[in-house]
Amino acid sequence: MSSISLKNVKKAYGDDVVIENLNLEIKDGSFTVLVGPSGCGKSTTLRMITGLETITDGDILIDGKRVNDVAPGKRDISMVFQNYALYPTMTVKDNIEFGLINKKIPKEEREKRIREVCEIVGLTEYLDRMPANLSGGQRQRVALARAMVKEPKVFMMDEPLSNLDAKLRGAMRVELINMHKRMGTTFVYVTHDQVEAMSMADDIVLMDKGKIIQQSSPAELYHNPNCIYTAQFVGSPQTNIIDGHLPNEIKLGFRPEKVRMHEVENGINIPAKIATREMLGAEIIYSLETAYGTIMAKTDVDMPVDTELKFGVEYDNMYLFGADTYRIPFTAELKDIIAVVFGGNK
Amino acid sequence: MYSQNKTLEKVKTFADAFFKILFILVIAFPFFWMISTAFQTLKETMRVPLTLWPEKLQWGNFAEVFKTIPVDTYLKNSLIVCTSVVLLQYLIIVPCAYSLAKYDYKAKPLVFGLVLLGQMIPMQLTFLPVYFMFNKAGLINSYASLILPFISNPFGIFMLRQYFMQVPSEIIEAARLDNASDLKIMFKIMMPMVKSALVTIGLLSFISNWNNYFWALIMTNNDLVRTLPIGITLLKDSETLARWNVIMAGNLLLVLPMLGLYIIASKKIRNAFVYSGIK
Amino acid sequence: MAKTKAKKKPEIERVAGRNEKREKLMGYLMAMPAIVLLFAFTVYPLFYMAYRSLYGGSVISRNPKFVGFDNYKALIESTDFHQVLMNTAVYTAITVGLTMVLAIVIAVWLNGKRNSKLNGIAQTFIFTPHIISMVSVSTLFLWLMDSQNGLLNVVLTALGFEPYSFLASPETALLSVSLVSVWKGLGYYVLLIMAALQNIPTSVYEAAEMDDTPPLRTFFKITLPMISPTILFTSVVAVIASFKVFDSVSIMTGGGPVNSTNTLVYYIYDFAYSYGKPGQACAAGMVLLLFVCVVTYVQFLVGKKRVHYQ
Repeated sequence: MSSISLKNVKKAYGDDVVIENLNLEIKDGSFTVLVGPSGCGKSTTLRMITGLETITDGDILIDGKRVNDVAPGKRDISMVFQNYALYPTMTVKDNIEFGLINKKIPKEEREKRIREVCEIVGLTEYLDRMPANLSGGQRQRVALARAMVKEPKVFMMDEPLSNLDAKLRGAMRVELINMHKRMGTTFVYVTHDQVEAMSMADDIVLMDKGKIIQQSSPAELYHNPNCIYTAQFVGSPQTNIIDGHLPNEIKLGFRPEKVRMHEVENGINIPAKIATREMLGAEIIYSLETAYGTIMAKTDVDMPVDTELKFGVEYDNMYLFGADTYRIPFTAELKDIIAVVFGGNK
Repeated sequence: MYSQNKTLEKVKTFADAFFKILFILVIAFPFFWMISTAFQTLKETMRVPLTLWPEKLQWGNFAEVFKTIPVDTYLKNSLIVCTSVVLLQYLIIVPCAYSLAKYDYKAKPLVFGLVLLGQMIPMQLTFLPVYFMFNKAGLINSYASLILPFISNPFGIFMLRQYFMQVPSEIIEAARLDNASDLKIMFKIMMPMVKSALVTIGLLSFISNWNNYFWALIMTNNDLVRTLPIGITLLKDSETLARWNVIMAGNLLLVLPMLGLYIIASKKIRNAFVYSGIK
Repeated sequence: MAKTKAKKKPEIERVAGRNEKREKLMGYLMAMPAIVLLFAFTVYPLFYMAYRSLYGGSVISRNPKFVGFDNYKALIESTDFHQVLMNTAVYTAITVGLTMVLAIVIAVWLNGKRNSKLNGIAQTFIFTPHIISMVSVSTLFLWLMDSQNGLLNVVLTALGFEPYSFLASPETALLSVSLVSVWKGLGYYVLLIMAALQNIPTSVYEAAEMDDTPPLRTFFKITLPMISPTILFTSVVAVIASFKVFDSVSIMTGGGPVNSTNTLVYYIYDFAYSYGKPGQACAAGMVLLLFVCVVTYVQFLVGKKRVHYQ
C-alpha cells in the first residue's frame, strides 16, 4: 500500500528530451492506468517509477520517500511485462520463487506464499513445468504470480494483455479488477487501449508527447474532457469537432452517441444526408454529410443510406474548445451564438 | 516407357550407392590402416604382400609406446591444459560477451574491434613475441604458457555475444526487479539460456587444444609439461628403425579421444564447425 | 519522440534500468579480463614484432642492436626467402584449388536425393579427419608414403613401378604435403558448402525441372551461381588457413628436401629457433601479417557481398 509521486521529472537521452517537467500523483491503493498512443512516454514513466530507467532531473517519491537512487530491486515494486519476461530456463515454481530467494525470505514462508498465490491464479498443477510448455494465458498467470508473490507496495503492468487473444483478454480484465480489490495494493497499469483503460481504472492518466493531458476518473474523462485530444481519445467513433464556424476559432464538439436522428428542442438541428451505414448489432454508426463536413452518429435508430434528415444535438451534450484546443465554459452568450450559426432553438 | 524409366532410375540409384560406398571406404581407409598397423607385429608391417589385418592383435605395441616415451605424463599434461582452457575461458569470455551484448559504454566498439582482431590474427603470427614475453616472465615450460593465450577465446566471445543479444532485455529487467545482482543475473539467468553455445564453444576449444602441436612445440622443451601431440612426434623421432606399428599405436592414443568425442556428439561437433566457419 | 529514442539507443544493446555510471563501470569491469588478455596476446605482440624486426641480435641477447631495415633488406636479397614465398603460394594454390573443386563436387553429390542414408554416413566419415590432430594425420601419411614399406610404394611395386620417395624428392614433396592437407580439410569445406546448398529453396530446382533443364546445366546455371558467394567466402578462409601451414611441414619434411617445402611460418620458426635470428624472423612475420591483412580485407569485402546476396 503506497502512494507515488513524481515531481518535476525530466527524462532525456543525450539532447533528446522525452519527458519534461512531469508531475504526477498516484493515490494509495488506486488502480491507475497510464494511457496514450505509442511513444507518448507512458512506458518511460512506468519504467522511471520502477527504477529501470534513470531520471534526468526531478524526484520520484514512494510513500513520501525519495527513491531516485534506490535500485529497482529495492523499491518493493513488482512488474508484469508485455512479453511476460519469464526466466525460460527455470520451472514455474523457480520463476515465482526467484525474487523471494533474492529477498532472503525463509523457506517455509516462501512455500506458503507460493502455495497461496498459485491457488489464486490457478497454477498449482503446473509448478514443475517449464515456461516453454505453457500456453500464452498460463504464462501470463505465471508472470502475475511472480509479481504477486513478492507482496509488493506497488504493482506495475506494462501492456500485460496485449499478447492474449480477444476472448482471454476480456476474461483477464475482470480477473485483474478482482485481484486489485483483493490485494488492495496500488496498481499502475500502462496501455494504449482506451477500452482497457476505461474498464479497469479508477484513475486514468492520459498522456501525449511526454505530457499529462488529463488525470481523472474514467467517467470524468468521458463526460468532462478538458481538451479536444481527450475528447477524441476516449470513445468510438471519435468525438465530432466542427471547426471554422464560430468566432475566435472556437470549436464545437459532441459525441456521436449524443447525436439524435430527429430534431430536438433544446439544441441545434442540422440538415444532413446519410452517406454510409455500419450495422454493429445493437447500434448503428452513420456518417452524415452536412454543410459543416462529415458528422458521425451512433444510435439504435435504423435508417437506410441516402435518407435526408435533420439531426439534433442538445446544448447539454456539447463541448466547446478554445483556439488552444482546451475546453472553455459554455456560457449563455456562446449558446446564443451557436443557436444563430447552426440554426438551433434558443 | 514409364517402366523403362523406372528401371533406369533403379540402375542409377544402385550405381550411386555403389560409388558412395566406395567413396566412404576410400575416405576411411587411412584410419583403418592406422588401426591395423597399430596391432601388427614389426614383421607384419614389413611383409610383402601387405598385411591387411594382423593375425593376432598385438596389444604389446601399446606397452612399447609407454616404454619408449612417458605417455602418462604427456596424457596428464594434455588433459590438464585442455580442461583448464575449457573451464577458465568461461570466466573470461562470458562476462565480456555479456558486457558487449547488454551493457552500454563508450569504448564498446573498441572492445568489439579487439575481439575481431583477436579472431583475425593467428597464433602462427604472434608466437615469437609471445615467446619472448613468456621467456622474460620465466613462464617457458609452464602450464600457464599453454593455457593463458587460449582462455580469451575471441571466437567464443563473438558467438556468445550473438546469443546474448537475442535474449530479451525484459528478462534482465525482471531479474533486476527481483533484486538480483549483476553477477547473479549473468550466472543464474543468462548462462543457462545460452547453454548450447557454451557447449559448442567448449567442444571446439577442447578439440583444438587437444590437437595443438604448434603452441606446445614453441613453449615447451621439457617432458614435465609437454603434451601428447609433442609426445607422438618424439616417439616417431626416437624410432631410428621406424617401428611403424609402435608409432601407429601411439598415434592411436592421440586420435581415440577425438574419435570417441566425435562418435558421441558427431552432429553437434559438425554444427559447431559450420557455425564457426560461416558465422 | 520515442522514434528518436529508439534510434539513439537500440533496445537490444542496453540493460536499461540502472544508474548509467554504474552500468558503464560494470560494462568495463566485465570486459576487462578479456581486454587484458587479448591485448597481451594479440595487440602487444604485433607492435613488439614490428619493433623487434628493426633490431639484430639473438634470442637471448639482452641489448639487441638497432639495425633499421637491414632485416628486411636481408629478406629481400635472400633467395631462400623468395623460395619460401613461392612455396607458400604454390602450397596455397594447390591446397585451396583442389579442396574447393573437390568439396563442391562432393557436396553437390552428397546433397542429391538418392541414397540419403549413405549421404549422411559419407558426411560423417569425410569430416572425421578435420577433428584429428595434424600430428596424427602427418604421421599416418608418413607411414603411407614410407619409401620402403609404405602402402603406396608397395602398391606401386606390385603394379610394376619403381618405388618412389614422395617426400624425399623436391619435385613431389610440396605436392604430397598439400594432398595431406586436402585430405584433412576436405570434409570441413564439404560441410560448409552443403550448408549453403541446403539454403537454396527447392522451388528453384522444381522450376528448373519444369523447364526440362539437363542436370549439368542446372548445376552450372543454378546451383553454382547460388552458392558462389559461399564458395568465395570459404575460399578466402581456406587461403588464410593455408598461410598458417606449419605442423605438416614440421613433421613430414622439416622444410626439405632442399628447402622445397619450407613455408612462411616454418621459415619464421626456423629462423628464430634454429638460426637464432629473431630480428629477421620478426621481419618475415611482418610480411605474413601483411598477407593476412590483405586477405582478411578481401574476406571482409566478400563477406559484405555475401550478405547482400542472401
